[in-house]
This record gives sequence, structure tokens and C-alpha cells, in this order.
Amino acid sequence: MTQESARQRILNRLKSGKRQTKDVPVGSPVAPTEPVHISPERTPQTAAEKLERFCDQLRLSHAEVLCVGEDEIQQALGQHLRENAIKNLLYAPGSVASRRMGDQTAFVETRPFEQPVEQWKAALFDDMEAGISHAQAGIAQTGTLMLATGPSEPRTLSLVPPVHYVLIHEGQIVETLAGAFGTKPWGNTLPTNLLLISGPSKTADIQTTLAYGAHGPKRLVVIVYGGTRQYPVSEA
Amino acid sequence: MSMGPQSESINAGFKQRIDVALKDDALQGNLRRAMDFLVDKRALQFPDTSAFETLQAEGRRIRQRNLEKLPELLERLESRCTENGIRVHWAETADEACRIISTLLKDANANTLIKGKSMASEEIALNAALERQGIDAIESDMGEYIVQLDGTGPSHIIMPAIHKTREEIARLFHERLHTDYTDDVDALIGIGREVLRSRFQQADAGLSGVNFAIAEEGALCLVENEGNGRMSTTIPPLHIALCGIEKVVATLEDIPPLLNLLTKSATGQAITTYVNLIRGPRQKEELDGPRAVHLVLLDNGRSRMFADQRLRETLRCIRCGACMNHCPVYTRLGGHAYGSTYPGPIGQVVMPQIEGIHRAGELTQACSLNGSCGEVCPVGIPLPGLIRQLRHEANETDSRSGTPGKGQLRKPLESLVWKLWALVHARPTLYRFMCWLASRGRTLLPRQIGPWTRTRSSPRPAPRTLHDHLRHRNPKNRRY
Repeated sequence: MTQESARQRILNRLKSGKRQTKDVPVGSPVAPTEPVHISPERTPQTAAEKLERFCDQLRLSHAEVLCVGEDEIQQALGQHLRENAIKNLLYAPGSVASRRMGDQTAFVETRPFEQPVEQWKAALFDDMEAGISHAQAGIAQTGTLMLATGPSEPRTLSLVPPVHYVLIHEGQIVETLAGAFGTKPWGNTLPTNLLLISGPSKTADIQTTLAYGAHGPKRLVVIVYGGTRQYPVSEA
Repeated sequence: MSMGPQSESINAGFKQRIDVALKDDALQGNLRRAMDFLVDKRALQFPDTSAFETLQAEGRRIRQRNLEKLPELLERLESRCTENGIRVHWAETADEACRIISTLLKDANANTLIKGKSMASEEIALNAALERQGIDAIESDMGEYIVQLDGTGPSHIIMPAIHKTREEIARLFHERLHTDYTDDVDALIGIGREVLRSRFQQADAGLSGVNFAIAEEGALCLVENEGNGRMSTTIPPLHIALCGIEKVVATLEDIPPLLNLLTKSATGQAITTYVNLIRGPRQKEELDGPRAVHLVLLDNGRSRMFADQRLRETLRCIRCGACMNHCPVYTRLGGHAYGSTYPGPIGQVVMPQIEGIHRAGELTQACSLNGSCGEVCPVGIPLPGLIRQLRHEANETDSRSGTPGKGQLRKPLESLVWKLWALVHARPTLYRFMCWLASRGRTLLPRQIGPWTRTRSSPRPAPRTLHDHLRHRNPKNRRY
């Protein structure tokens, strides 16, 4: 009852304030009539340039980037896991990432994410060393991965384990965030979380000194796959 | 330090707080370094002034357009959020917002709350209100966590612990968390990470702010670097988002340009590590995420600002903090001297409007009207103009705005001086006479003028006025 009246009072004040100040036609559409897209840095880019910018920007944000052929994901991932002595890898059964990563049991203990988080919160936080996701899109301008959470992309998979692997097809890299939103790769309704990730978790809250691994993953490893491989495989 | 509705007036002791800040050498050094760092980082992101002005004009247009439809957008946001399973609540005042949140927590039997960074929660003094109800609220943003351990509050809206040195934080952790002393930043962050990761797991509920609420999608956008915002809104079974009513935008298309301006202006980043668009609670097939999501829409004076065409511009703010980073006064004082939730230029404009001029109007005096804040504001809020308007409202009741406490800081002598000043300047004969008098009687003027001459020499009129000089140079010109 009081809730209803607080709502009503706020809206009434806003509506009468609006009348007092500016004439906006009643019933005009809520959505903007003229879409605005200005981005001065925007330049037309080829697929190769986009890929290069994407990788460069991610590396500037302290992410590790591996560019491999479509059939080399399994090996590249396995090698990275082994070289970094990572003991286990969390994946979502039925996800694109789980199909693309192939059989990793030779390198690491693989663990399917199949129970509700409450049932194994402590193990998720304390035991899991790495998680693997698949990005729906990449944004070249800022070196950003776009992830859509859902049954096959749990929210905590890309958040809790200290190392986060992300697979992305090079064909999914677009120039700008506006472009990535425009293609709506998630379909009609937004996913429960639409995530934009641009590097490992970080903070500069102590005397503006940058430190990585604040609350989320300490390391972000991006595996860009596709046919062209125009960009060097190893990291500079 | 959070200034809630019950606390004493911000005006009280402002001058004393300024004195304390100006005498604190460690603070001065810290602020100078930190502000230079933020100013330089922002400048690297906007190397071309005219390109920035184009972006600024666009940001301003988008925010203006959204505000013009504010009531409709809020209704749309409410219905779309409801469809998405987000429960929407409306709070007229800070107290009401605190009540709604504590009721939600009690209904869920929640005793511990983990908080992502939210300036709105500072504005309503939520932590203190929850403490009175026996609910433990823990800050999880590293900076907020540090100031909470310290028993103070944020001194900057983006970097809450900017006033503290690394060594001070090292001692604080050692004393309060009983860990071995270290002043290595990575080690300190590592300690914070460990402590807070267990807090995330134990918390019964999470609270976050909102950077943008997207009406057409019924979604909440959160911008951060640390991941604590994601943790707070993902791990606990209940998520409560607190959002000022002005934070609503129409569609997803509004996000890229505003986000671009926000992160570049705030920390000089092209984008932050995480941007999270939250559409709703855990769905049937999902294995994680909160079971329930609530959105509390906070008015607390905003609808009053909205009613005045000029003051409405305040509501365009996207809380980037660039105005304080570029403010010569903030850079000397730091946030605590203001004694208000929002310090710096935006605080000087927002606080008197929320709390009333009789309680916070003195803040507008801490400004040299140099204009830096208005120039860097990513959405073009005319901050110096608004500060001037509020100074006027502090003395007069003639404006049509609904700002509480209008005219209550009026000082009779000062008002009389300004009245005479205006009178003289509006009458050419009188003006010429006064100038003649001042130039001829210049040696009779006092050498000591209160605080002004404590650090400066006293100003002295020239023997001849500018008009005299010009008349002399060109005797035929009668305009002088």
C-alpha cells in the first residue's frame, strides 16, 4: 500500500515536473527515434586487422592470447595447461567450449559443472584451478570478449576459478561494441548475464598501483581459433 | 563518515575540516599524485579535444533525451524488469530505501550482506541502518573494504581509499586482519582477495549499485574492474540492486557511447575489465546465479531536481568522477573535507539539493569557478553554472526551484555589499564617481583585509582608471 503510493508520488512529481519544463509529445515512443552512433576512432578494418587489434588490445589488458587453427585447439589448450601445471579444468557439459576443447583428460582432471552451485560452493572456490568458456563475440576496438550466461555457460565458470580460458572463433570478432550489440548473437531476449570481459580481474585501489587478481580470475587465456592463422601463434 | 539523513549538517565544521586537510602533508602528496595519474590517463584516451567535444555532445544528447522521458522510461523499466523476474520497489527517501532493503533481508532471513560498490548506498547510509537491525554489511570493493576497515568512508566516488598511502593500508591490514605486515601491493590485494572470497561464499545476500538501467530490456548494467560486482550479484542467493531513478536509459543502443565516455573519463580505460548486463535471477535450467533479484529505485530529492529546468541538468551525471579529478579545490582537500557522500564539483551541486541549502549549501563556496569540471564532464553538465545558481539560491528565494532551505545562508552585511555593488555598476555616473574616489583615495584603503592578506598582499587601485587611460589616448572618443 505505501509502496504503491511512493511509486505514485515519485511518478506524479516527475510527470508534473516534465509538464512545467519541456513539451514532449504525449505517447511518443520510448525508444530513440534517431539512433546515434558516433565513434571517432572508428575506421574500416579487414578481418586480419580486426584480429590483430583484438589480440593486441587483450594483451595490453594483461590477457594471454593464443591463435590457432580450428583443429589445433585441443593441443594448444593441453600444452598450456601442462606448461602451467594446472591440475583441473571446469567445463559446462554440452557447451560449445566442451565440444571444441576435445579430450583433455591426458593433461588435466576435467570436471563437469553439473550441480547447482550451493551444493559445492566451497569446492568451486577452493579446489577448481581453471574454467573454460566460449565467447559469442569479440570486440576488436577494446579487446573484449562477449559471453552469454545460461545453462551451458554458468555465471561462476568465468568468475571463480583463478584461471579462465575462453575460446573464440576469429569470425566472431567485430569492430565495436555497438556492432556486437547490433548483431544480437544472444537472440530475442538477453541472457541472464551478458558479460563483457576485457582481461583478468584487477584493481588500482591501493595508491593507484595496478594489481591483478582482485576478486575474479588472476589470468585470462584467450584461444582464438579459425582457418586463417594470419597472426603469430606464439606470444611476443 | 557516511552522511545519512540523521547525521549532523554538512555545513557544520566545513571550514575546520578544510583546515585539517590543508595541514595534512601526507594527504596532500597522495592526492596530488593520484589526481595527476587520473588526469593523465584520461588525457591519453581523449587526445583530440574536438573529438572529445563531439563525444561529449553525444553523451549530453543521449542523457537529455533519456531524462525528457524519465517517467515513461521508469514505468517501462518497471514492467520489463517485472517480466524478467526482477521485483521493483520505489523509495522516496533515504530512510524508506533502507527500510525496504532491511525488510527484504529479514524476509529472506539474511544476516550477512556482501556489497559491491554503490555510492547510492553511501548516500542513504545503508550500512549504519542495517547495523541497527543487526545485519552485517561488508564492503567488497577493495577501496571500500579498506575504508570500512578504517572506520571511515570513501573520499572519492571511483577510488574510495585514494587518500591513504600504501603504508597506512599495510598497517591497517596488519592491525585489523592480524596478517603479517607487508606493504607489497600484490600481497595486500591477495590478502583482501582471500578474506573476501570466503565472505562471498558465506553471504546470505548481495547488494550492488547500478550504472545504467536499460528500460527496453529490463536489464541492469554494472561496470567494474575487480569482479566484486559480479561476485556480489552472482554468488549469494539474493541480489538487491539500488539505483537512483536518473540512471535509466532507453535502449541497449544508448550503452556503447555512454560506457565509452564513462570508463575513459573515470579511470582512463577504453573499457573496464567487466561490464555485466543483468537480466534476471537464475532460470530453471541454470546452475548458479541468485534465486531472487530486487531493484530498489531511489528518489531522495531527484524528482525535485527534475522539476527545475536548470537544476535538472544535475541528473545527467553518470558518476565518473572526472570533475573531482580536475578540480583544483578537491585536489587540495580530498573528499573527506567535504563531509558529504559525493565530494568535488558534482557533490557541491548534488548535496545541497538532496540535503537542503541550510544543511549543505556551504559546499558551493569551495569553488573558484575556474570551469575545469564543466569542460571535462563527459555529459556536459554546466557544473560551474549550477554551483553559481546554488550560491544564488543560498541567498535568495526568488528562483522557481524547489531546493530546500533556499535563502537560509543569507548574510545581511554581505547581501548589502552586493546590493550596493550592483547599484554602482548599473549607474554610469555613480560608477565613474566611485572609480574616481577609489583611485584618488587609494592610499587610504586598509592594508590588512582579514584572511586575504594573511597570505597575499592587499590589492590597491591604480592611480588612474582604465577609462582615464583610454580617454587620454583618444580624447575624441566620448564613450569612456
